[in-house]
Amino acid sequence: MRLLLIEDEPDLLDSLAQALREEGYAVDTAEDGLDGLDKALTWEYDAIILDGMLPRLDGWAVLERLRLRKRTPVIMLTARDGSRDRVRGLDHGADDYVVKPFDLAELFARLRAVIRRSGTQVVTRLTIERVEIDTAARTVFLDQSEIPLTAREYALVEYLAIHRGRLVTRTTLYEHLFDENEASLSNLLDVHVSNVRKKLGHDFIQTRRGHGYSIV
Amino acid sequence: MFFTNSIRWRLQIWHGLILLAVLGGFGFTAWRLQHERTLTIATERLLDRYNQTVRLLRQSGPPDGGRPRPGPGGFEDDGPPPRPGPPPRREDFDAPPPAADPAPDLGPNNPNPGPNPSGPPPGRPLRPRSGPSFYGFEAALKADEIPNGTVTVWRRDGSLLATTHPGPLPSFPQNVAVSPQIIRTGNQLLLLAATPPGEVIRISRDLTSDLLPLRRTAWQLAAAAAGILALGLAGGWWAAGRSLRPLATISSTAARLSAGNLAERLRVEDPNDELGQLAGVLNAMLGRLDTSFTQQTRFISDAAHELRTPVTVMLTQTQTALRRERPAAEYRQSLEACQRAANRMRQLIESLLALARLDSGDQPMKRLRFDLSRAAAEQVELLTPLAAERNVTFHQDLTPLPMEGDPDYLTLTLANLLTNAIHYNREGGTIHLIIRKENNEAILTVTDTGEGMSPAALARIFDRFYRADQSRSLPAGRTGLGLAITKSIIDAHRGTITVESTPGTGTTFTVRLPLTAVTAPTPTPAAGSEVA
Repeated sequence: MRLLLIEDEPDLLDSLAQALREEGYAVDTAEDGLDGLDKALTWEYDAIILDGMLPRLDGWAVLERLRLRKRTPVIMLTARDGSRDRVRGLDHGADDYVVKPFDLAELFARLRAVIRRSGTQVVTRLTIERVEIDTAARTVFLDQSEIPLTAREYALVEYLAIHRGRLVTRTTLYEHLFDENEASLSNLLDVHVSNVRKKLGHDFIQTRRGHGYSIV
Repeated sequence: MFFTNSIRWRLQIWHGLILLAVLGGFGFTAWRLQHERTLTIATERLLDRYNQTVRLLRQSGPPDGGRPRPGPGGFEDDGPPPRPGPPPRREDFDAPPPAADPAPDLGPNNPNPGPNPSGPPPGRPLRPRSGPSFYGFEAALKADEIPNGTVTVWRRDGSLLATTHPGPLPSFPQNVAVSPQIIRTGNQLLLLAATPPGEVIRISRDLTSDLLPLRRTAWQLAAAAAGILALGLAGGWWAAGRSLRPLATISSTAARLSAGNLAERLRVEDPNDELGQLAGVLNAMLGRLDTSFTQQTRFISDAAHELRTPVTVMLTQTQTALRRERPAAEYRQSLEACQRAANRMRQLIESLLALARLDSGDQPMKRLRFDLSRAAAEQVELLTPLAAERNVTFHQDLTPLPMEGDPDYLTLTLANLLTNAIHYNREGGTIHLIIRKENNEAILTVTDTGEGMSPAALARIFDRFYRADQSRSLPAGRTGLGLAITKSIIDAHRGTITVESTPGTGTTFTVRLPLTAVTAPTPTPAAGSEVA
C-alpha cells in the first residue's frame, strides 16, 4: 500500500512517515499543498493523509482539485474540531477526518478502513485456501496458526489478496509497496516474494513471467 | 412575607395607604363641615327662640305698666310693638317660623346680639317685675313651642317665671351675662342669657334629632369611601401589573440568557419610557458582553488550536518511538523533536500569560528612565544572527532618546517588531529601523522589504492569533500573539501603533510613544502629571 502524507510540520511529518513505514506502507511525503497535489495527481496512491492547514495551498483546496480528477481515499487531519471544519472537509470529498492531536492507533485504523472501503473488499478477513488474512489485525494464518511476516511481506500478501484473481504487474507492486526513495532497488520485490513463498507455500503466489504476480 | 418581596405588592400597599388617607381626610372634612352646619342651624334656631322669648317677655309685661318691655337690644325702644314680620325662609327644620323681631337682630350671621349694653342705660330706672302678672307668658311660650327646645325663665331672685320644661326643672344658673351665651353639653345645646331687668332665660335644645341625619351622612360617606377604596385598589393593582409587565418580560428574557447564548436582546416597546431606557441600557450591556464573550471564546479556541500542533508532534513522536526497540540515535531524534514542540508550547503559554497580565492590568507598567535607542541597538545586535540566517541586513538611524516607560515591555515590542520584520522579509532583504523625537513623542519605525499585506490583512494584523496567511504554520518561535502583545504594551504606554503596507514592496510599522506620560493600563488622572 502506498500512501501520500502531506503535512507542513517537519517533526510531525517525519515521525508519522516513519510510523506508517513501519506498518508496512510505502510513504511519500509533501510539505506544502502544491507539491502534495502534484504528487497526488501524478502517482496512484492507495490513500492520502492530508493536513488542513498547509502553506501555498490549503488542504481543502488540494482536496477540491484532486477530486476533479481522482477518487483516491483521503483522510484529513484537522486542528479544529469545530463541526464547520469537518463538514467542509467531508463536503470537499474527504473520506474521513482525524482531529489533532490524534492517537496513532486510531489514525491507522481509520486508514485501513478507508482503504478497505475504496476497493471492493468490505470484510477484514480474507480466506484463500489454507491461508487466512486478517487485514484489521494485519496478521496471516496458515492452517489456523499465525505466520510471522515482515511489514513489507504482509503488504505484498495483502495487496495481492485484495486483487485476487487478477494479474498484478511488477510496476504496480513497486508503486504500491515502495515509496519514492526506494523504487530503484528492483530485486527487492523478488526477495519479498520468495520469502512469502517460504512461509505460506510455494504455490500461494503465482508468477506470470515477464508480467507480474497473482493469487488465484 | 412574600408580598414584601414583590414590587407590585409594595406599590399596592402604598397606593392603598395613600388612598385611605386621602379618602379619610376628605370624608372627615365633609362630615366635619356638615356637622358644623348642623350646629350652626341649631344655634340659629336657639337664637330665634331666644328672640321670640324676649319678645314674648316684653309683650307680656306687667299689667300696671301696660307698656311693652324693652328688648335686650334697645331699652329705649318705645316704638310700636313688634309686628309679626313675614316668616323668614329657613333651610331646614320645619319648625313654625318665629316672628321676626327686627329690633334685636340676632340673625344667623350675628350670634352675638348687636349693640350689647352691659347694663341699663343711665337715667332710666328698671322696675323689677314680680307677681303673677306674667302668667300669660308661659302660655304664650308653650303656644309658640319649637320642637326639641325648652325654655325656662327665672326672675332675678331665682324664682321660676315660666317654663316649658317637661321634667324636673334645671337648676337656676348663676352669673348669667346679658349677651346670650351658647354652651354645648353632650347632645344638648344650651343658651343662657339675662335680661336687663334681671330675668334669666335658659333655652335648651336636644340635638339628637339634629344629629341623626349627620350620622346617616357619616355612614354614606364611609360607604362611598369604601367603594372608592375598593375601586382604587383594583385599579392600582391593574395599573401596577400593567406597568410592571415589561419588567417581567425583561427578567424572563434575561433568565434565558447565559454565557453561551448572549445573542438574544430584550424587546423594547417604547424606547423613551423608563423601562424602555432600562431595556436599552441592558441591551447595550448585553452587546458588550456578547462581543467580549465571543472574543474570549475565539481566543481560547485559537489558543487551544495553537497548542494542538505541538501536542500532536509530541504524541506522534513518542508513540512512534515506543513502538519498538530503537537505536539510541533515533530516540535522540524523537526527544529533540519533543523538545522543540515543548519549547513552542512554552513560548505560546508565556505569550498567553503576558497577554492575560496586560489585559487584567494588575501589573502596571514600570516608569523608568531609559534610552529607547540604546535598547533598540541592543535588540538589533541580538537579532543580527537570526537575520543573517535569512541574509537580511539591518539599517539603523537611531537618535539618543531618553524617555520614561517600562524598559522590559518596550524591549519586548522592539524584539517582536524586528523578529517579524526578519521572518516576513524576503531572502536578502533589508530592515530599516528609525527612532527620532518629534513633538515630545518618540517615533519608531520598522520597515521591511517583504511581500507586504493586503488591506484586509492589515485591518486584522493586531488581532490575536491572526496570520496574514491562514494556512501557513508559524515559523519557529512565532506564536501569532506577538503583535497583539505589542499593541497591548503600547496602549498601556498611551502610545499608538500603525501599519502601512504595499503588497510586493514591504511593510512599515510606526510606533508613537509619549516621552513622559506613562500610564498604567487603567489610567488615573494623576498618572500623567506625576511623571512630569
